[in-house]
Order: sequence, then structure tokens, then C-alpha cells
Amino acid sequence: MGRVLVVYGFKFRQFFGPVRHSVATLVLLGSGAAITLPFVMIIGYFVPSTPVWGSPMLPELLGAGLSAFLAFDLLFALSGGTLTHPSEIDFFTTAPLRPREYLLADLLFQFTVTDALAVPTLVFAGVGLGLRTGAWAGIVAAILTFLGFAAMGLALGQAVGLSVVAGRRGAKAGLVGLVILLMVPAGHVFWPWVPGYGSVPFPSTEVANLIHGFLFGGDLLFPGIVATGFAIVVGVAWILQSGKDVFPNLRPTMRLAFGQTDLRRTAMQAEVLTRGLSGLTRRVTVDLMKGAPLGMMTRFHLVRILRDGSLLMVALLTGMLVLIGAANRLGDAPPSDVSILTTGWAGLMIPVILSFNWNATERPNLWTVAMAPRYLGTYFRGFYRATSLVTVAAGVIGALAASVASPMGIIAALAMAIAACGMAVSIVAAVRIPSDAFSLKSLIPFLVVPPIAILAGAPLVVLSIFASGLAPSVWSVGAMYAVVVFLLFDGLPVRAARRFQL
Amino acid sequence: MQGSAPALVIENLWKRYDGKPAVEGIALSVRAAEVFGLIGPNGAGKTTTLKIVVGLLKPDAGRVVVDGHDILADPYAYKSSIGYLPESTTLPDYLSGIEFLTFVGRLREIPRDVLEARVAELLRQLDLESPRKDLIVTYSKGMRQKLAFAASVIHNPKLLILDEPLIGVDPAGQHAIKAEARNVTRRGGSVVVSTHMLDTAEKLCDRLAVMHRGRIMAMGTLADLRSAARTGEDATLEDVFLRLTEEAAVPAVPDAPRRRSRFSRGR
Repeated sequence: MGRVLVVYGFKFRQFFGPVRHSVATLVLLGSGAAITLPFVMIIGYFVPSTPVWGSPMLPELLGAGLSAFLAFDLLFALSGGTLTHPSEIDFFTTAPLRPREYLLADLLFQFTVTDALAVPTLVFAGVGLGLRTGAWAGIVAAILTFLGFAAMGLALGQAVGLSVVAGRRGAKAGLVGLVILLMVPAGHVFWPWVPGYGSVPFPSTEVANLIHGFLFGGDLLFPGIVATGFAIVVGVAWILQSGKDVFPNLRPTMRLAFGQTDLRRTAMQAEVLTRGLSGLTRRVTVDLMKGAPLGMMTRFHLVRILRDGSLLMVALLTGMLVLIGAANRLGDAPPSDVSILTTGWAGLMIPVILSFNWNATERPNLWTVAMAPRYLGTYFRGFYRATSLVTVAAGVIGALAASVASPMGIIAALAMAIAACGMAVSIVAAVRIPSDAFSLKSLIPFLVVPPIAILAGAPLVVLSIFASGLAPSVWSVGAMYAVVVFLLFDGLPVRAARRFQL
Repeated sequence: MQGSAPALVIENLWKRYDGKPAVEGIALSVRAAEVFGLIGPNGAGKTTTLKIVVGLLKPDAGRVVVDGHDILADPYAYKSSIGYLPESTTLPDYLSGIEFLTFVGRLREIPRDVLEARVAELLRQLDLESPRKDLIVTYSKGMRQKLAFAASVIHNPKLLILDEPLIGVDPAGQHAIKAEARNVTRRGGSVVVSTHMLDTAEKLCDRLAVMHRGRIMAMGTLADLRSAARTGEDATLEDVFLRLTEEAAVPAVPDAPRRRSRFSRGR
């Protein structure tokens, strides 16, 4: 056990290093907990007053939550199943350490960072609930059952993840199949013929029944048997896996500490994912010799967005918009200009994500342009234009899918999107955004871009919502307004570039 | 020491990545108390070979024996006798230097009182004493490399595997690393060092192997390599290396005049 604790201690100290060494962060987190936890207790106290409490839907909802939890554990397992810092591979797995010792330490650590931190929340909510219902034994049993289930999910993810990385035949397909199986009952909301979580005997749904049984009384035998069987299967799988030499299959999955974000790495992962679309990305070439510098810069950024993985994020956001729009269409409600808000959301997020990606991948390379400062402004203006083109394209697709009632609504959404592009690009030009979640600078785009963009689109939104049945001639006024917004923001990145620092 | 058992024996080692051969049936033996150099161009298979020896990669075929242990038959027993410095070291940014070394030492099961003294000794030797309590994230590249080296030798390994140990290290640090490597051999241990710094390899290594495209082109003392490369007695390791790898790169044309490297011209 000694070496298990040494490895666990290492992982814990490294991961929470930024907190250990920063009093300010400790105070921040402590204050957050001190403010939040009493509210959690109050919520726990009032939960029995909600319509969900005691309704027949509760086991189904719990089952859905636990299934999503298990599916997430299994999805994480695709990356290797362990939380391993690269230095552990170099210095720990080359030491006289048994795989089982390492995996046990890793499991404890995973439990600490993913679940144990939730314990205070569960305890405070449980205390609130206990004060109201007095069912203390049931609440304690429910919390322990949830934590046990969470630990089993992690152990399963670790065992299966290592099999996937080892390249065992069928492991990856089996894992993906399990995740899909766990999520299929969610379709019951849309299609009643799909069995819901309340009627499938998954380990997650039976654990949900067990928790429900502890809280409300009821059958504990069958859910208990299924949960115990699941625990035995997971235990056997983990023991078998940890008896093998898994060290050559460990992957460095934990490069960052608590609160750190590596946007460059995230962008690189997106780039790897889009590499599969090489026909679309790599083979699209643009002649950078042609045209004026601004056109060249715009084309350069378009190609970069296409190739560096940013496109994946744009596609994901656009896809979500289309899905939301399609779901809206399924309803009986007539098309509404309120859908602008949905489209506007993508219009705000796409430029923010594109500018974050640029900040992570391209900023360090900008010394080439910074050496020719005459073109630094052109570079950022080109960036703004390229971002606007991509965002407008995504916005049009989203607006059409979202059933926006009138062309004025679409124009309003696009005006907001264009303003968001101008602000997002200008912010990264003027401010160096660090890869640190505790840095206030990383919040600037999220705090500044949406209000400015909404303000820019507000006149058209008001017009389209309150002046229904506008004549087509007014649409052209709206279009003119959008062009004015575009031109207003066209100069902003150039001014912001004067403050640029590598 | 000629009579003692070899520290490392590699027999017919093969490794492929996605079907592409990285190591093709190499065989070598590292004697006790010697510094053995592994040199070769980029992509020659040096790092792959070393990673197999330390158990971070599994070979497709072959046998590796470290300190008498067949590492494939028992992948753990031999690990207490090896130390490893990887080519690109990633260190835990949010530990201090002394914390990191203590963790590695405790994992190596060094008694606490011994460990404390050993950590202090290494920090002093490698000029890391004053920043020992600073977070590693604040260390320079050279300081990180020296700290990683300290972690690889903290338990006085019998076989020390060093993959490009001197990259980014200042002259004093290089001197300290080379001295510590020599200390390992003085204690009867062996060192395998992979490096592109040929002048260092020439001075530091007792024997060398030149790898190219997954194979060993020549192996032995510098004199043996000169002989294999058919260079003169005053040829440097750089001359020998370029000759051996150039010969392998250029298809064998019997009557073609041997092209001299621009680096060896005028010697």
C-alpha cells in the first residue's frame, strides 16, 4: 500500500499544485464553497416541495442521470482509462512498481477529482433533505450507493480504456456500443416506442431504483442483485486488467493541473479529428500571391480555419443549431422571431471560439507578421473578415433551421454575429489571453462580446418582434443596417492591433 | 570487468510502427562498468530501442536481458536496477524540485534518511540547491533537464539509460551529468547514452554502436568503428559516423567515387 499512496500523493499534489501554491485561489475556492454550500442545503430542504419528488418519473430521471454519468466515464475511457501525467510514465512506470499498485492509485485519484469533490455537495443537500424528511438512514444509504456506483464506473472505464489502448479486438467497438446503448433510452422523450430508462434493466437504472428505494421505500432486492452483479463484473474485469503489464499502454492524459487549460492542445486534437476530412481541408489551396494584402490575409485565415481544426468546432455548433431548430419545428408552436436568440447564441459563440483557437495556435507564430508591423492591422482585419464569413455562413444555416419567422430576424442574427466577430478578434488582438481558468483575462471575451453583439443587433430584433408584417422594403433597410455594422467593426481590429503583444 | 556478466543484452530485437520497421533485428551487449554510446541519425531507432529496454514499449520480437533478467519474461524485477532519462522530459510543473525528487526516491523505496541525503547531494552537484523549493514550472529548460537527470540516478542504478541527456544544459551542468554518469561506472554500473553530440560521445563512451534505419551499422570502440568505416586512424567520430550513414544512404555503386562530407573536407 506504501507505493500506492506515494503515487496517489504525487498525482494529488501535482494536480492541485496551482491551488496549493496560491493563497488567492484557495480563498476564491473557499469563498465559493462557503457561499454555495448553504444554498445547496436549502435546495435539499425544499426538494420535497417540487413536483418531481415522489412522482413516478423520478426513478426514470435518476436512471437517465446515472446512465449519462456512466456513459461519460466510458467515453473518457477512450482516451486511455487513466489520468496519467507524462512524468509518471517516464519515472514511475520505469520504477519497480506493479501495474495493480499504479492502477489502484490512479483509481483513488480519479475518484478524488471526479467524485469525492462532490461529496460536500451531496452531504449538504442530504442534510437539507434530512431536516425536512427525517429519513436519515435512507439518505446516507442513497449517497453511499451513488458513490459506490461512481467508483464502479471509474473502475470499468479504467479496465476497458486500457483494453482499447492495447488494441484488443472489439474493445473500442464494444465501448462505443455500450455508450450508445446507455443513451438510447433518452430517445423515449421524442419517440415513445423507444423504451425509457424506467423500463430497461441497466446497472445504472437499477442503481437508480435502489437509491429511490432507499429514499421512498420499495423493492430493494432486484435492484440490489443487479447492482451487486455489476460490481462483481467490474471487479473481476479490473482485477484481470490490473494483472497485466499495462505500462506500455499508458497514455499521458493529464498534462494540466487543476484550473489549467491547454487550448493549443485542444485545438491540435480538433485538427487531428479534421485530418480525416483531408479531402476538404488539406486539398483546398488558396493562391496567396494574388490580390491585395487584405484579400490575401482574409484567404489565409479562411484556409487556416479550414485546416487547423477550428472548422470542427464551427461544424459542431452549426450542427447543434440545426438540431435545436429541427426540434423547434417538431413542436406545434408557430415560427417565432424569438428563435433569433438561439441563432444569436451561435453567432456569439463561433467567433469567440475561433478567436480562442487563434490565440492558442497562431499567436506564438505571429512574430513573422509582427516584424512587418505595417501589415499587423491588415492581418487582424483579414482575420475579422474571414471569421465573419464563416460565422455568417453558419448563422444562415442555423437561422433557416430554427424557423425564424421573417428575413428581418435572420438579418438581425447576422448583424449580431458580425459585431461578435469584430469584438472577439479585437479582444485577442489587444489582450493576450492566458491558458488559465483562474485568470480573469480569459473571461473577457465571454463578458464583452455578447453584450456588444446583442446591442448591435437590438434595433433589428426589436423591429422584427414588435413590428410584424413588415413590408419587404424594410428588409432592405435592415440589410443596410447590417452592412453598416460590418463597416463599423471593420476598423476596430486595426486599432486593437496597435496594442498587440506576442 | 571483462569477465563479469553483461549489464544489457539485446538479441534479434524487432519493432514496427504501423507496419513500418523502426528496429530491425538488432543485437548488442553492454558490459559492466562501461559507458555505451548509441548514435545515429534522426529516426534510426535509438529511442525505440531504449524505450523497449526500460519497458515503455513492447517489442514485436527479440530478447532483452537486463542484469540477468529477461525483461519480457518478468517485466518488473529488473526495474529496480535501471534508471531512465527520456529524450523529452515532461515534469510535474506544480511540484517543487525537491518534492519531485522525494516522490521518485520514495517510489524507488530508498530509506528516508538516505533519500534526504541523496536528494541534497544531487541538488548540490547539479546546482539546483537554491531553486529546490521553487515550482518546476519556473525552471529553465536546462534546470528541468538536470532535475530529470537527478531523478534518473537517485537510486544509484546499475544500468542508466540516457536519451539525449545534455540538450539545453549549460556547460557546468553538462560536466556534472557526465561526472555522475562516470560515477555510475565507477560503482560497477553501466550507462547507455543516446546522443547526437558526437564529440561528447567520443570522449564519454567506451564503446559505441552506430544505428541507421533500425539496424546497427557498426559497433565497438572508436578504433573498431574507424576500421568498419575504413577511415584513417585520426578520423573523428563525426567522420566515422558520416561515412557509415552516408554509405548506407547512397545505393551501392561499385565504381562510384566516395563522396566526402562537407564537414570532413579539408581535414
